[in-house]
Amino acid sequence: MSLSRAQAWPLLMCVPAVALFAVFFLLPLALVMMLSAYSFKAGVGIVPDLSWANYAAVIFDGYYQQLFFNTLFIGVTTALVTLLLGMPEAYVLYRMRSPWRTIFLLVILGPLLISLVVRTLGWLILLGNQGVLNSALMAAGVTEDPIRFLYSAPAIVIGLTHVLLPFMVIPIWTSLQKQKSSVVHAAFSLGASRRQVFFRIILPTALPGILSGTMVVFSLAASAFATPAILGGRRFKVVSTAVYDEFMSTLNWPLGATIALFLLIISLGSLMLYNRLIERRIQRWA
Amino acid sequence: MAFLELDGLVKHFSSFVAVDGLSLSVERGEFVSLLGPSGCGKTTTLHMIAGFQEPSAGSISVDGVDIVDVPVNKRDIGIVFQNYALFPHMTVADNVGFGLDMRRVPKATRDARVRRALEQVHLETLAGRYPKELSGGQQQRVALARALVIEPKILLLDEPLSNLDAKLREDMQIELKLLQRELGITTILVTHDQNEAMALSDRIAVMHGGRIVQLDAPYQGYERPETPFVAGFLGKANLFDIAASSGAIDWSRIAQSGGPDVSAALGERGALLCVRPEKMAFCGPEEAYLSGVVATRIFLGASWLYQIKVAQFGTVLVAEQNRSASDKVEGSAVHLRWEPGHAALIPGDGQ
Amino acid sequence: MLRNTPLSLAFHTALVTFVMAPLITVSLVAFTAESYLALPWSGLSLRWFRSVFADREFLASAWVSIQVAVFTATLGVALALPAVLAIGRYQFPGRDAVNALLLAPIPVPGIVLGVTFLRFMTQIGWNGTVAAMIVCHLIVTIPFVVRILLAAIVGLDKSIPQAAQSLGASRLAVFRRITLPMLASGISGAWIMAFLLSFDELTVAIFVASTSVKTLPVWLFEKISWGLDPSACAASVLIIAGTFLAMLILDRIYGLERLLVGKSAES
Repeated sequence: MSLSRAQAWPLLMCVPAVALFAVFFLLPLALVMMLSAYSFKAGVGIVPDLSWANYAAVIFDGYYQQLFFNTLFIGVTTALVTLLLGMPEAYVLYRMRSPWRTIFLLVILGPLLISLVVRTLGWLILLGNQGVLNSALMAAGVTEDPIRFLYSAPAIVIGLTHVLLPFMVIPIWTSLQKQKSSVVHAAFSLGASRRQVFFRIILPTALPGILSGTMVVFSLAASAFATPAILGGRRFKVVSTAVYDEFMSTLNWPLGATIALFLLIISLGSLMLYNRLIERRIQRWA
Repeated sequence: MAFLELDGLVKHFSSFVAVDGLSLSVERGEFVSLLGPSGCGKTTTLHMIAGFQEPSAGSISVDGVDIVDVPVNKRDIGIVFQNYALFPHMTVADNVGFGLDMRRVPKATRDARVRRALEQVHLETLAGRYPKELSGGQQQRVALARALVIEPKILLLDEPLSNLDAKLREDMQIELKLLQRELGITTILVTHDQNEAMALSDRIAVMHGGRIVQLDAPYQGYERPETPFVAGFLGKANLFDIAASSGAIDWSRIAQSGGPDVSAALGERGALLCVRPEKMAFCGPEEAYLSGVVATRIFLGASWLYQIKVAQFGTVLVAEQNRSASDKVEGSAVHLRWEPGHAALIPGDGQ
Repeated sequence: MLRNTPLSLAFHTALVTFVMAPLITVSLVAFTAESYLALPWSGLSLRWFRSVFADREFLASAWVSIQVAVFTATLGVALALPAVLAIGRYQFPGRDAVNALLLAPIPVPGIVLGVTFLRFMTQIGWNGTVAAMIVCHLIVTIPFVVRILLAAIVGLDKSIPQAAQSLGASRLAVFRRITLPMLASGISGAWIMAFLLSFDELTVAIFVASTSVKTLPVWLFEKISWGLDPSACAASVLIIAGTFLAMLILDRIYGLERLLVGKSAES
């Protein structure tokens, strides 16, 4: 097919960005996929022999199974906790009047732009053995010895909930916003109670937001690195921190690449599954 | 050769044919409307004249020069868009002056011409405002001034009044017509509003399926529609299928009073008789062409509108000027006739 | 007709406390007079700010971060803008593919991108350079730049450039006098967003960093991992203050609500 001038011009405008992505995104991804099929020998380094050994190790070794289980657990728990906090908060924001709504929307969402490491450091200080929370609990006489929060799944879930809450509030709030207030008025005029309005009108309209928020939070929680690295420490490992270890301390890059690819598959797979199963249905009315 | 000449214009988008062999000659200073429902190809035609779209076939010439290969910015054609398309980041004066800037008109001349253009549309006091600070009608005038200030060879109007409320629209129609006549500018209006087309145009090209189905002065088009589509699109119409009407309409009586000779039409592919609602008149049974029962009666202020049930035809519309209270309550039997010269015979070519 | 009940406002207050708690804690600890992480009960002090400003590594990493963020934002907008104009304005073969490619990094976990870059940059011998850091940040931020710009361009009325053309404007004049000014807020919004994303980026940077080329988040991460003291909090306060400033500017230029709600509404 020959291109007319009108078609060549826009293509040309895409060339710089596409070239950058081809060389520094697609090519490296392909190379890492190859890397995952190589093997690693102590003292020798990376040996370019194509084999399934790394894949077999990741799938059958109990250690890695535990890692993936931990990751899944963190992802699911964070998604649920975020939903339990985010849905009511989105609804509270939805019911607020104009100056307050904007202010608190920014209070809830603003931290999204503030350094993740800084926020995680905050939790590290709050949750530490001599941390703020423990000092308060001991001072209040709730406990005599400090409770160990850090380096555990709950600490990671707390940190991730804090980081990912905006990703739940925003889509739900957007869904609610789309609804005209006259719809709620119509429901009241037809004799619905506040309860009924919430369960039969508000909740269903928020559903697209709830589902996409849950999906995004799960996906981001399962692949997060900084929070589990800082709040999980060496005690509670997830897939991403294990990948970091393989690359930065063990130096078994091929195995690290394999684990990373599994993470990529889980992440993309869950998003695709979500698109296929849920989004299509809702698209008809949302 | 006419000033603007469209010859065998075709535009297709992959398999869809938007404009299908359209030819039209527009004289210098003439105001022609392209009227039709959405999807009839009128906007595509306008875009081809403007140069936003390239014709798949056919030619467009202005003043004897083919302009198909002339880029948009060299065509000297002014356009007023449906949504006005004002530049939001420029003041009214800068919007109007933009075309002159592009032509590198010296500043003094530019400012004078901008002022004059704004005076023409009665906006001289709002030159420093931004489009957002204007009402819909004012924005419309800015768009008009912006298109006119470059003294274009042709003015294209793309549904320019459809975003205005009814009252304002009527005022603008008159103003637009006066301005166009004063400037003597060749103008093409695209619209789906028959009233707008009739009020403004010297000639109306009714479009359907990418073609012009009738090109006529507004009065002729209204009085003598050539197809059922035109009859239905230019105003309301009662269409009587002559072949199916034996018994319901008294054709002999029509013929006696000098009406169209339907026997000839009947012989061929059949024909329709078109009678406008306002041409229908109530009468006594002895003069009646048709008889029926009043189904609904609506008061419209200036007139009464009746829907009359007539056997074999279904509903016939009758509009009666409001001269007095109506005595024709719903359910009463009525008789109808019309002046023979008021009916148009439409050959039934299968449409 | 729908009002918040006292119960829902109590919940709201608790949640806002939860959101603010770590930021407030970090900010308070930064002013402690103690030599360990503690709330400043025993007195306020600026000693940790002095300490962090005397820290060469902190200053070097802050400088790297600023450089990288400025280059990333500028190059990112420069590369994305023409592509987005093409995607938003024209139909051409490969349009959907280009669009998909430029958004593709979004669902890829940062850790995967990180190891991908580490392997590739090591292979071509770029690892540990500022250039490599910028290129990696470009891949991470361009998708978001594309999204913001695309929203701005799709929101533009197509008939406005057409009107300009009909008035005699050339392609270049339309771009310079119509498209660019109308996109100004979208472009600056995208630039600041890219700057903030790059400035905050850790997961990818940690793999591309070296001892000499290190961004601020990487420095802070290492500090937290290997030798946590209140100077990390002091540095954090500086980062928070800087981000607030950027957010303020962003809000003025583009509208923070529009940006944030737009940002992850479809992610």
